[in-house]
Amino acid sequence: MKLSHEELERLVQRSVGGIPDRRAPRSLEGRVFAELQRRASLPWWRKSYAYWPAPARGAFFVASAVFAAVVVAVLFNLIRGTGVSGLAGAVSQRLGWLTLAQSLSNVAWQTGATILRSIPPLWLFGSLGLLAACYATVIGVGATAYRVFVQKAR
Amino acid sequence: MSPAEADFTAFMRAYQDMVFTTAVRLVANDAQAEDISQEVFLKAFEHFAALQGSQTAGGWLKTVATNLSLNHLQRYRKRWRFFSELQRDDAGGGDSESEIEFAAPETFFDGVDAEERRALVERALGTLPDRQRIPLVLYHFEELSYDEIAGKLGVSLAKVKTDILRARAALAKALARSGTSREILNA
Repeated sequence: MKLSHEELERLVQRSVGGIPDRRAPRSLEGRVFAELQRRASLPWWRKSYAYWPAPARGAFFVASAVFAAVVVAVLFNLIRGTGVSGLAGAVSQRLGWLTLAQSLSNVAWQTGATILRSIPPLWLFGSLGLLAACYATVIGVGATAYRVFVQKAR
Repeated sequence: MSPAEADFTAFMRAYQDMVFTTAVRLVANDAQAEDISQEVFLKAFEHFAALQGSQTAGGWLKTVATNLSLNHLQRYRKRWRFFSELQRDDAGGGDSESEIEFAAPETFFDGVDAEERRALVERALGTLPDRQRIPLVLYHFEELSYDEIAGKLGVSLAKVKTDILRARAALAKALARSGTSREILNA
């Protein structure tokens, strides 16, 4: 006898309906309480904002507001025409280490570019091609092994 | 143990089987289902003041367990798509159009006790690929509508219907093969 789709739906529903729940593992309760205890023992700054003490939340709010005000003030000055150079000068007076960092990054960039230019293009593209081929081989072998050994085993 | 802990322990004991069952039917893996159940109860603890004594606590827990299981499956699927997406399509009986040949039993489990039924159904569900098992479980166990399932899974309504149709046929075959209903299998 053939079952229509509707009959099959009813048969499956009757077959799976009213099945009792599976018993949860005994370890579940212990795991939940251990995790709750671990979370409770964390210092406040490692918890989410909602769990911070009120003074810390207030201080964070004030700091955020000050930061936002500074950003708005800087943008406002830029738009008003104080000029990027004027602003950069004012900032660099206070943050001299930024100039040093910029010099260092320039040196690193120029050194890298010089090294890259000195490598013959054939070597460069050959190495990149070899790297891509190795990567594709590893992924291909992994995917084949997974499909052959893991999926077939299921 | 503090009174609050005692209350939460009682709450967990009342619902942990339901939460674990919901997760294990969707992910078909005991260890992952236990991780998901743990996450559900950690969330429940955060809302315990509202959930304690609430009539809707069971529904809330079931919804959270379902959503966390689906999130888990989606993360896992994205990570392993390259490795697992090309599995053979006959895994769950892809013959959606043809009708299924069985005798017409009342259920697949004449004379089988409830605990054994549960084990047989779970084993049969475990043989289905994710794309069939998940919508089937959402429809027949979680009692969601086709529309709700399509929304939760982010797929089209037509795909949900097709997958559930194929899943039913595959489940029926798996249950029929399970041995208890050998006598009712016609072909």
